[in-house]
Amino acid sequence: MNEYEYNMINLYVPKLAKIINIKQESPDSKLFTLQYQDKSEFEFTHGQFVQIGLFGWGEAPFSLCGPTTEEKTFQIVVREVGDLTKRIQKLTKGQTITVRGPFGNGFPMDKFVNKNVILIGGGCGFVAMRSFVLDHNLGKFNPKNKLQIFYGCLNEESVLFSDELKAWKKKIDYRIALMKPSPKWRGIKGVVTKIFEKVKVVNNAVAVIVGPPIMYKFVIEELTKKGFADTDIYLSLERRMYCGLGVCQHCAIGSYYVCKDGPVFSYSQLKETRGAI
Amino acid sequence: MNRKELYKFLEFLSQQHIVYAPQKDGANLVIEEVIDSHNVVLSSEIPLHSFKKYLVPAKETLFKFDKDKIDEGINSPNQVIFGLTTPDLKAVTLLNQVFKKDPYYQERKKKSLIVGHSLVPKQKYHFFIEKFEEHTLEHLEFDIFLAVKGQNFIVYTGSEDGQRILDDFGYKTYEHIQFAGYIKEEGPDEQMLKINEAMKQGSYMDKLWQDLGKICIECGKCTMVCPVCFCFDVVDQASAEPGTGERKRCWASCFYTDFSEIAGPKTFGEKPKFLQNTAQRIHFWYEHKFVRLPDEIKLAGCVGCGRCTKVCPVGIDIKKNIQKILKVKRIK
Ligand SMILES: Cc1cc2nc3c(=O)[nH]c(=O)nc-3n(C[C@H](O)[C@H](O)[C@H](O)COP(=O)(O)OP(=O)(O)OC[C@H]3O[C@@H](n4cnc5c(N)ncnc54)[C@H](O)[C@@H]3O)c2cc1C
Ligand code: SF4
Ligand code: SF4
Repeated sequence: MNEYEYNMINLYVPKLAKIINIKQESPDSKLFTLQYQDKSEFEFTHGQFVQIGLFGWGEAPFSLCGPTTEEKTFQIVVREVGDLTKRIQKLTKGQTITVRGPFGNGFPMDKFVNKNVILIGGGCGFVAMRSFVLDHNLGKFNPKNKLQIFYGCLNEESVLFSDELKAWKKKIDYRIALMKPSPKWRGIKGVVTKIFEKVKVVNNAVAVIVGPPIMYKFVIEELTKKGFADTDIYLSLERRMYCGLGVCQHCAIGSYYVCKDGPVFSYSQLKETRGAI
Repeated sequence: MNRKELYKFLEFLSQQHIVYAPQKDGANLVIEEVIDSHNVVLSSEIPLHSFKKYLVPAKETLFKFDKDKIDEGINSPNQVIFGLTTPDLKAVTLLNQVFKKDPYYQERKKKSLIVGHSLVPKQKYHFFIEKFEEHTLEHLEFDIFLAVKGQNFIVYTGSEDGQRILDDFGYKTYEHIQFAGYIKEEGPDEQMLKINEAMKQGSYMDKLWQDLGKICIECGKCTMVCPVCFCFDVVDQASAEPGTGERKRCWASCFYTDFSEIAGPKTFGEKPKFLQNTAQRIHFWYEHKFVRLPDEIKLAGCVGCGRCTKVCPVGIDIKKNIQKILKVKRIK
């Protein structure tokens, strides 16, 4: 049978990328700057992810977190949690890894046009927000729109991008809550929703939440209390995934695929789907 | 074509192809490689293990790697999958859509000659299956189709490959069926749309799924025999030489607990996962068949072959479950 065009691109074959730079971000996370070995360009949008792999150890999804303004280099943060991530962390500058993607829909940029934005991140989920923050600070978006960040983290050591914060704070309303801070901590203590008690949320805003699954329910409750419509709340979800193409079924939720229709969904999309959040 | 000619045709095919066809293995009918064409059984019985592994292998190599070198090596032998019933042809048609952009599947499909027949299964497990009529062929993808008429066969072709091979064999009196798309003129199957709608209104919390969750033992047999189930994992298999090995794609089953597991701190010795219990898993299986596939390609992920019911060790019957899904009246 040969009715179909079959000179197709093989989306399972990764491209090789070289590690240009590595920076320790926290005790368990490293920021990797990558570039394709053939020096080809890399284009993506905020909130998208790539499948990063090592031959012999497989692949896993990681959020793209560099600015979109770089033509050739791109960045990911890898937190050590298992076999593959342990191996990736052992790599050094100049070594290669494999890349497929970018995948996913990314942030709802057209919803942001005349709106303020609040990003609410927990733990490693905060990684996914950095590319938007960097572009914002570079003046890529409407300067009239405000950006607010609520970030929940374990302790001082685990705060990601800590040496960039000084610059960030000049352009955005950045708030952080630490769950188990040192006795010296003067800031907000507790889970990320604590910030809602102390800080006024920007008005006329769209919210994007990225974090561990347990966080979503509580943050959505807070936002709803503050008058956010379901269509103005977005969530970026994590699921197991293999193909990134909406075929393997591991990341399916109801009628959606996290890899293809997500990872960013509006709350109104997911509200009726039990087990999604 | 008469029986004698058919055996000759099978022998002709086996000169340049590996031929897989239904044959008896003890009490079961299975689709295996043909050594003696006289063992081929054309009957209305649906082989327990489907043709699936010949188009979507249980394990296949995506590429080999050696340090930084990738060897794609997409290549598959010429094969004939012979003697598929119309529900199995429906499954082939569906897989063709699902793997439309998959070079591995498409290569295998290109090298495969699919031969169907018109005997319609009668056993109690089947449903969704229509009586064979010529116009049903317009919406199925196949190369050659044998409509059984008494002791003889009326031969149809569904592709140029099918025509060519019959020409080469020297059989001229076939009729060509022009593929008219996999969805009928009157639109997607109505029964499918109804099940889709009913599934979308419910959730795994409904009684049906909670009940099934109590009896299903998560053996995954149903997903293995189903001609439509195609979920997979991708895993690396390292070779002895450091830095070398193969990336493989293997069948997965949504009934297995690791299916939705992600990395992270364990609770009560278990990794975080999204399908938490059996009820959720079996609901997920039906959701793929009756929600996602119909939404994506307007085809149900079930062709009604009844294989899953036949192999289920605890007697879960998909036909009865569909009736239950449809019966639930919801107050809006
Ligand atoms: C959209 C998305 C974005 C992500 N972004 C980041 C990020 O920016 N930084 C970061 O550190 N982590 C991120 N993750 C999580 C990251 O993918 C996992 O930490 C990683 O898969 C762990 O792999 P492991 O082999 O070290 O873990 P192990 O527990 O040893 O193995 C997990 C096994 O499951 C497979 N698997 C497939 N998908 C997943 C998954 N989502 N989670 C866990 N296992 C998976 C792996 O291939 C592996 O075989 C993201 C996940 C998703 C879905
Ligand atoms: S779900 Fe059961 S009846 Fe339906 S196609 Fe699969 S095996 Fe056949
Ligand atoms: S065959 Fe039956 S018991 Fe086994 S996983 Fe399928 S439904 Fe459950």
